[in-house]
Amino acid sequence: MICKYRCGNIAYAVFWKNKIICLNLLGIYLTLLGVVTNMEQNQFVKGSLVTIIMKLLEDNGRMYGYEMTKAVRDITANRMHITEAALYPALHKMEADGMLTATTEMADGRMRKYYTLTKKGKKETVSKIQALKDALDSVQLILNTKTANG
Amino acid sequence: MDKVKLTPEQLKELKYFIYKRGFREPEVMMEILDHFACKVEDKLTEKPDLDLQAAMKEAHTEFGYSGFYSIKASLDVFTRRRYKRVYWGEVKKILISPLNVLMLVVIGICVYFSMQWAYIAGFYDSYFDRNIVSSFIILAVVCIELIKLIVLPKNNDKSYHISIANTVNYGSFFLFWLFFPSRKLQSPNQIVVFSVIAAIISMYYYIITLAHYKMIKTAQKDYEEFKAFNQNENPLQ
Repeated sequence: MICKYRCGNIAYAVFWKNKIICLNLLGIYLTLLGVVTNMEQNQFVKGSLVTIIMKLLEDNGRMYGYEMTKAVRDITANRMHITEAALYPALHKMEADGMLTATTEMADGRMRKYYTLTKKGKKETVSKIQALKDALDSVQLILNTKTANG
Repeated sequence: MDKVKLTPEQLKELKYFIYKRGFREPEVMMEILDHFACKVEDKLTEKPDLDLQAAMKEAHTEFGYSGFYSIKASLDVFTRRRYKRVYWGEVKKILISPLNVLMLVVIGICVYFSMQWAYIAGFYDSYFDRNIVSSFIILAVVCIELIKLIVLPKNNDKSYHISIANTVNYGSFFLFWLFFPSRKLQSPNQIVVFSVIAAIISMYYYIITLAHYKMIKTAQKDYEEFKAFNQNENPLQ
């Protein structure tokens, strides 16, 4: 059965046979509902991928695709990793939306594309990170509170 | 331990590995190559006794079941979106450019009055089953399409940018062919309505043809820039 779960105005996900088939930018809210019981961390990352990319670029100035995947793996001690299938569409979309600019340079005998946040991207980063933090705080609240029916 | 750096010969093998899997456009290959090469370098650093072929296979497996295709698919979607944006940008520019607006008005008036004149004067071509002016207009459009084929940059050198741009708004001629009115009309009201339709379609054709031409020129510029940056454009060299 296909189910669509929506939280607030910006987060929703579509499931089929208990597997996520579509996840929006801040799908992290989903755990609030307790719907996603056996979601892997990778799928969890996908929901907040744009925010993760923005945060990495804010801290490092400019980065290339592989550097981002490696940074996520290193920071999380291999507990999370970004797949290419998720990373590149996100980067291309952010570039098309004017959040990032890409510059190409020769590095180690091959062309390398470096991504940098634009002014618009820098502004968005602040609000996106705040939204993610708020969501995580809410998750924490629910996880730490014992709820009872009635 | 020092990080392994691939030699030009090894990079050539990587390019061939990508090429063999059907990713032949230099732009796509360059998008894939750096990520793939970084992965292979990490594999060789982690396991120094691994040979290049095995490292390439391991790195390729990590791309998932769709392999490099996920990168290409994303690039296709967003390159097409970029050219669509260029195309609609050009349409807007045409609509606010005084010279083009004047051209549109001239085209509209000429087509409107010549169609009316042909219908009223009974210039009807029974062989093609349409009035003579519409036959001339369709002939002119066919000529423009032929000129477009000759003048527009061709995709002989397999430019990824031009091939993607060509998928944006194709078939404008067929739209013209389908909707351009040409049948025999009797009542004066019908003649006015169909002359207006003919004028509008002719103006529409002018706009989309010019916008398409400028979009392809942008794609060619992108390709030239890519070529200038990446002098070694042959993916296997």
